[in-house]
Amino acid sequence: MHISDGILDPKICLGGYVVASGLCAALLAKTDQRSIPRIAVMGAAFFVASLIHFRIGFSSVHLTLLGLVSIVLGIRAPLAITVGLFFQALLFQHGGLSTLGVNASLLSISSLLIVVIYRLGTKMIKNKIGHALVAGVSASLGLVIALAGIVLLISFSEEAFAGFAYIFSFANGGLAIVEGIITAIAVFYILRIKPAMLKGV
Amino acid sequence: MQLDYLTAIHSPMHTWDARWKLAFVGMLIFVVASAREYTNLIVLYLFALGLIVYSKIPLSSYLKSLKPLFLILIMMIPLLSLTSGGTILTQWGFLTIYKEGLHLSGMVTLRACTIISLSIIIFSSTKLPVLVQALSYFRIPKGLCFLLIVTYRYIFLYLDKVDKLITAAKLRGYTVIKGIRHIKNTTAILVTLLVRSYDQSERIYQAMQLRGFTGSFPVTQHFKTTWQDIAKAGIIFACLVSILSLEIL
Repeated sequence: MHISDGILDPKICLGGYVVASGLCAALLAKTDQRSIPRIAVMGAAFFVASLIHFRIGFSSVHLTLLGLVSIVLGIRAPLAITVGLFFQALLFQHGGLSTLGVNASLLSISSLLIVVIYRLGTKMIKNKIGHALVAGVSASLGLVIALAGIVLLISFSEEAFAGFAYIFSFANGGLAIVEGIITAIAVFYILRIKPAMLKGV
Repeated sequence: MQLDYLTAIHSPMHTWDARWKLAFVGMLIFVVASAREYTNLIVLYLFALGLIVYSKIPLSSYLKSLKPLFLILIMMIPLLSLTSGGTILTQWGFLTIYKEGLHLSGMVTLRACTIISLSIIIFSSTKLPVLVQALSYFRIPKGLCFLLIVTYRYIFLYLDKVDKLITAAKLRGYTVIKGIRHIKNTTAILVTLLVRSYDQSERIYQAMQLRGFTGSFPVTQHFKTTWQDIAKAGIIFACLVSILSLEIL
């Protein structure tokens, strides 16, 4: 789920870089060097997830693992997301270098919202199934928010893209549901195998 | 899966100082993103193609890299041509192709192909450790450089482990990634992979500390600017200044 090169206004691209670098700098200042290998593991997972496709009807969607990365890393998830997007743009030309800042900002903001929703939700629910459901719902919501951001930015950049942006968001709507299910199942498994992983880094 | 095999090629682009390459090709990317004239975009794309040839990147690898973009364009071009604009170019029954939509989709195609070609040039001609070292010259924080290097290492480990886990699952009769009903099994594989790597990351960090790791990697490449580096930068600079002047005039 990315905005490709050549679509956005350069001012928006630059703005994206400013927001993403500000966010990364602030998070790096708060990050202990010891946590970096863990963030890297999730960044690599975020990258590899884009290679896993699921067939839905005649179409197929690729995973993002945005929800899972956010829940495992907590507020440091934007670092893993930015690095993962950088490698996706460089190695597989998913997204692009000119839109890297915008894509990173959008997904980072969504990931922070996922963290907030998940943490608030799990404060109220104590059982494993409930935790998994909250994780699934927050992952889906996060992706919907990211999609809304993409549609807004594309339409704002060039009015003529509005129709395309809406169709793109409908096509990716299925992804939000699939990601929600995957995140819920993954969180349920992690709670059984290694619950300490969900306490953030 | 091999990801960086193109960096083994020998070409003048591969020997270009990574700092100059990153700065000037990066600037060119932003000039392409802001270009609004058709002619300028065509010139820029031809220039990028010239750099691809100069980098000795095989045509098959170049076209393979453009595949994800083509998949988006196949969907976008007809949609834009059929929905955007007011000047009717041609009409078949209820289908109307608009001039402005067609024009816009052409511009997006050119811009996207050029930017991706330039990105391919940067990454195909520079090994990642060298690229990260060049990034550190541009005051990219040390922590982010460390994160880039470690993530890159984990990507290869992950791809290798995914292969092994999928082979093992296949031998147990599992049909890989075919439909939504297999989500549970695929997620189980993903979680196994994640938990193992998560534990491994802690052990790797401890091993690195025991070997005296202090947060930065030793310098593997000492950059030294030559007149050839400056000449290559000059050619790129001349191109971007000419395009910028044409855009402004």
